[in-house]
Amino acid sequence: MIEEVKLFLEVCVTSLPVGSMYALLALSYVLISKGTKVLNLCQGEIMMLGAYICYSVMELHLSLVNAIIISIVLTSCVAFLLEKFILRKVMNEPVFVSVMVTLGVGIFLRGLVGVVWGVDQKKMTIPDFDTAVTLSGFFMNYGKLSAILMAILFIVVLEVFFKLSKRGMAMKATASNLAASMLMGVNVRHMFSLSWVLAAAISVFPGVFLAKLIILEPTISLYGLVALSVLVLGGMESIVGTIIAGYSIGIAEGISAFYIGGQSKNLVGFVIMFLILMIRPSGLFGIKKVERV
Amino acid sequence: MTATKNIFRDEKSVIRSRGALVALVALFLVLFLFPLFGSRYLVYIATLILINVICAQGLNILTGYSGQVSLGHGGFMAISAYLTAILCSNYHISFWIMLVVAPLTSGLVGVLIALPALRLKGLYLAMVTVAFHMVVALGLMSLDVTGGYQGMDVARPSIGGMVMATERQFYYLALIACCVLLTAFINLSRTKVYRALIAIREREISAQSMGISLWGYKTLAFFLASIYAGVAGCLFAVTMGHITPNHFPLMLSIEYIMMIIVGGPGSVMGVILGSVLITILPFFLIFLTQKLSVFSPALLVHFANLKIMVYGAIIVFFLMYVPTGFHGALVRCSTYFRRIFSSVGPGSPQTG
Repeated sequence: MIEEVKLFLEVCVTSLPVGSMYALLALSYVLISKGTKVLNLCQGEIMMLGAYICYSVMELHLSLVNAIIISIVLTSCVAFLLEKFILRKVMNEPVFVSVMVTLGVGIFLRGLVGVVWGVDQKKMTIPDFDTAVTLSGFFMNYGKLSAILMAILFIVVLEVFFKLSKRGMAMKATASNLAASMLMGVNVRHMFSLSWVLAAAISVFPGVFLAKLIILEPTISLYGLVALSVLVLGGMESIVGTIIAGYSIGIAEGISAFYIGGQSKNLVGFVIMFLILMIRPSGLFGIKKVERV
Repeated sequence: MTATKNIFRDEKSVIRSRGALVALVALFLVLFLFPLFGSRYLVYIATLILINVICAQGLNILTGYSGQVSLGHGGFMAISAYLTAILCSNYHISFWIMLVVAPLTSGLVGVLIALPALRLKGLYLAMVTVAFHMVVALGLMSLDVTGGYQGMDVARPSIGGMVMATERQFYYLALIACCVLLTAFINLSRTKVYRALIAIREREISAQSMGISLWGYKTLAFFLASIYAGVAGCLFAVTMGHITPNHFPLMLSIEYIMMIIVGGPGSVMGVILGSVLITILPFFLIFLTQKLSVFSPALLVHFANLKIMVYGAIIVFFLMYVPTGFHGALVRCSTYFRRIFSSVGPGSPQTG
């Protein structure tokens, strides 16, 4: 019995790193939907772009930290330009238009990455990350540990940003009422750009870590779809909810991969999404919205 | 009084003028006689176009009329296609029964999938349908009954002892199905359902306060759209003769959305035009790449990626600059020229 419990815990702990990366990726969706009310379906591709840039920089024998910084800067620039020249033009259109535009951008980016980097699998070599550590009986390595810590760091930073900083509150205000926040002197254009840039910067981390933990190939953009189920489970808006949902889905995937096996791992997120929409559509931590006419 | 009557009758009539009738008859003749002259390859492409017209037209009910987005229409096609393949090949059920059963099944699956999402406002339907397509794609690859990556053969349908096997026969089958479903679609566009869906698209709250059941009509639209996808999938299965999961990638669902965006959401002719263009596009692109690969052989290597780059660019371009698609652009052009001519020639505005 004890052995089984221990095994179960082991499975859970092993899937924490991937879970925290889902959480971070979903967090970048939350940032954009919090700031601009757009469901950004190309976030997975932006994440992939960040991972590939990081990979290329590391090929130049730069350190991981430098590579991540360069990747953040470049990816944020891409996101800034995308928002400024494409997304802002369709801001006032129906949701159908904005979501399809992000999808189109995503497809374009996927093709671009395929052309530039090729479709074959790449292996990221980060020697420090493979050093094994034992944490109260559970085997981990530095890569996985830093993935978990990174996610926790970001929750705190973003929570503080939205709750305490002026800019964070301005961003929330922009999303909740555009006209009113313009009248209060919020530069809403800056807010739109800011949310895209922040989201892109954050999604570099899941990109790099997922590429390290799993594999680097253009299909890692599909984790953007897994993040959608995290988003639904977490309730679309709440940061804490998204983090918890990310871990839950990561652990659920780990459990199903271990106990059921096969392709079931890839189905878990989507099944959870259906169930949540059926039982509690506002997600675990969502707020029920009332629309006034 | 008679004038109003006439206008209403014109509004309700499918064929508005003698010119349109002549054009329609001519189009039918061309479509009917085409396989007698076209090569087998061209007939095959034409069959694909007809199948895509069916599926895109179904999606048009959902996206064009009621304004909902489904990113999983390829998934419904896949379900219907595989159901046809499994029941026809393994259980020897007649294809003609499947042509009714498979679409109904995919329609019901569609309703079951979409019900939770349709209760909510916003983009939940897009998310759920994307998830659905991923689930279907994974299922097709890992199940035994679908043959995994190898896919499975589809039994040839037969009419009265004659087995259908040539491209030409499948073309006529698709043509008949396409005509029947398009007629149904055009007739749907003249009913209460159509007006309710348009009202939902324009503003949900005001539609609801007029007594339109949002949930009911959205579900109905999704059911119809999935049925059209089901017919398309059924026809696709027999036309290909062998189906694999690779025939139904996520890109397929996006292509159907593209057909609507390029053609013009909500317009019958526009979506037909969009389906034709988007179906031909990959064939055109591969032709172009082969020609251009003289200059740079790398083009052929990257064909798949270049193709999806073009697709992405088309989606973004049309949504940003031609939001009403080709149909809207044509209408705008024709009104523009009409205005020019009517202002030049005195007393000629009646001709329009």
